[in-house]
Amino acid sequence: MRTILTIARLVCRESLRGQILYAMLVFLAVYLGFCVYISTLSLGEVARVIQNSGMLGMTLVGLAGTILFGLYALYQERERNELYVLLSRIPRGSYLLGRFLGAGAILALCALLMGTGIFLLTWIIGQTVAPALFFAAYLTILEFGLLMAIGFLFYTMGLSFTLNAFLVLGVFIVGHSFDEAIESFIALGEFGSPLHLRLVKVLSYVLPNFDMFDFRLAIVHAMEIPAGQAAMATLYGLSYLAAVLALTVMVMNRKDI
Amino acid sequence: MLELSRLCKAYKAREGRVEALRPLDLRIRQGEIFGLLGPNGAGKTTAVKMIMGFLHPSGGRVVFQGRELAVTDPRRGIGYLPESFRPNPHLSVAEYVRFHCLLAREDRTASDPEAEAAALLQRVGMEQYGHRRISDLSKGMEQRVGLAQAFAGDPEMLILDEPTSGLDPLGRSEVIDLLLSLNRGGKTIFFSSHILSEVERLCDRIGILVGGKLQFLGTAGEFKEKWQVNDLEEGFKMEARCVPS
Repeated sequence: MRTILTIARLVCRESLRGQILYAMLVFLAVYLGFCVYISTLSLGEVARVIQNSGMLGMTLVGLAGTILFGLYALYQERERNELYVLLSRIPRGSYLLGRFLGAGAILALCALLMGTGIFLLTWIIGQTVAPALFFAAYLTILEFGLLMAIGFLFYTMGLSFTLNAFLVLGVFIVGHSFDEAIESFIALGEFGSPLHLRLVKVLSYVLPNFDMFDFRLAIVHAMEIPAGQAAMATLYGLSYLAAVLALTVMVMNRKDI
Repeated sequence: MLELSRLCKAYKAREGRVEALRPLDLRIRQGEIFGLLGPNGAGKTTAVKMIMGFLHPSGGRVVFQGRELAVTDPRRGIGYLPESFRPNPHLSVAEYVRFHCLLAREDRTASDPEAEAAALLQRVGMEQYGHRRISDLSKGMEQRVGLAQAFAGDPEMLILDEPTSGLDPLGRSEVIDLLLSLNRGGKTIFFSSHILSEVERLCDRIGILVGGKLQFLGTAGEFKEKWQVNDLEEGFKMEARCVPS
């Protein structure tokens, strides 16, 4: 555990000193400004518009953070041949988990900053206190933590950075399409194929179903978030994450580096 | 100290089975400097990577200090510097070496990583650059930092892949002196290099790999005698032409 934390601390330190974080902070500031601007175009829905567009920004930050803090740094380490030095000293699993934990912490920092920014804007400009935005930040961390773990798995399979980034993006898009696809099949009724419906349902369990983490509508409309659903999302996210990380370590241990 | 028995690696490629390393038997003795030579693609890096546990061997085993090493075991007691190594550019020199001192120590309470890092930097002549960011260092300085991290944890053995690459003649000479002084202190050194004058100056024994096969094992003097030459390079060229079938 100590080794994992040592690696995680290193990852945090290098991320805090790298230019990517500063680029991300600039994006964050510009995006929050954009949220304020478009909220002025709405009629009496300032808070909702800020929340809605802000949560979209949180997703963008999560996606960029997953690819840049999580994956890019991982590939850079291999390119510098530093991976070999580290793996001569520590087990492969500790290395991966340490990297994941460190990058996850930076991702969480970005999501929380974004969440706080939207919360403050909603409060100051929209005259609405919306603590549920922190719940949205939490779900972003869970969702993109899972996506990052999937990226790590692709890394251990020997994929190039570009291919990995595209696949991660693909998994993200597919993972957000299941609910809609299932609803469409159900709406088709007897005209739809029950086989296809079953197939999509099975896939939605096998592949990560990111719709589980999407409470945006409830938050924007100040609806109560069902505790059961929130707990289910957490349980689903953590179980899936544990399984993907375990598989990643297993693949890494079997691979030639 | 380090024993390789029947260590081999074969890959499946489009053209069929490729033997990157044919069964290799080698014993590195305690306190010696051993140089592994060979033309490009001879299997040197494959051999080193299998010793370090980065590649799964197709057969054979690696025994270090009487203990057989599994592929994914960390190599405690072995300091390693890979070829074309670039340390983490976001850290300062002292932070980087301290980090490796922390990782290298199994029992973290046994030594003060701060003091160990300072001593290592002094050993490689980088003590006045401890505060400097690695991204601001020259290639030669980066190589010294790489050597410092390899010495972290006071390993019994050092495995160095092209340790003098990127250094100017003065830097090269300093590194060789450093390795000789470490060896006098009882360290076993296994290294690969293309610079044959270095090899001749440093090594007690050399091994020459050609086409994945160990063609020669002995002293530099014995090698020159084998080919009836005065120059190691001349003999090396003749050996490299004898590609095994």
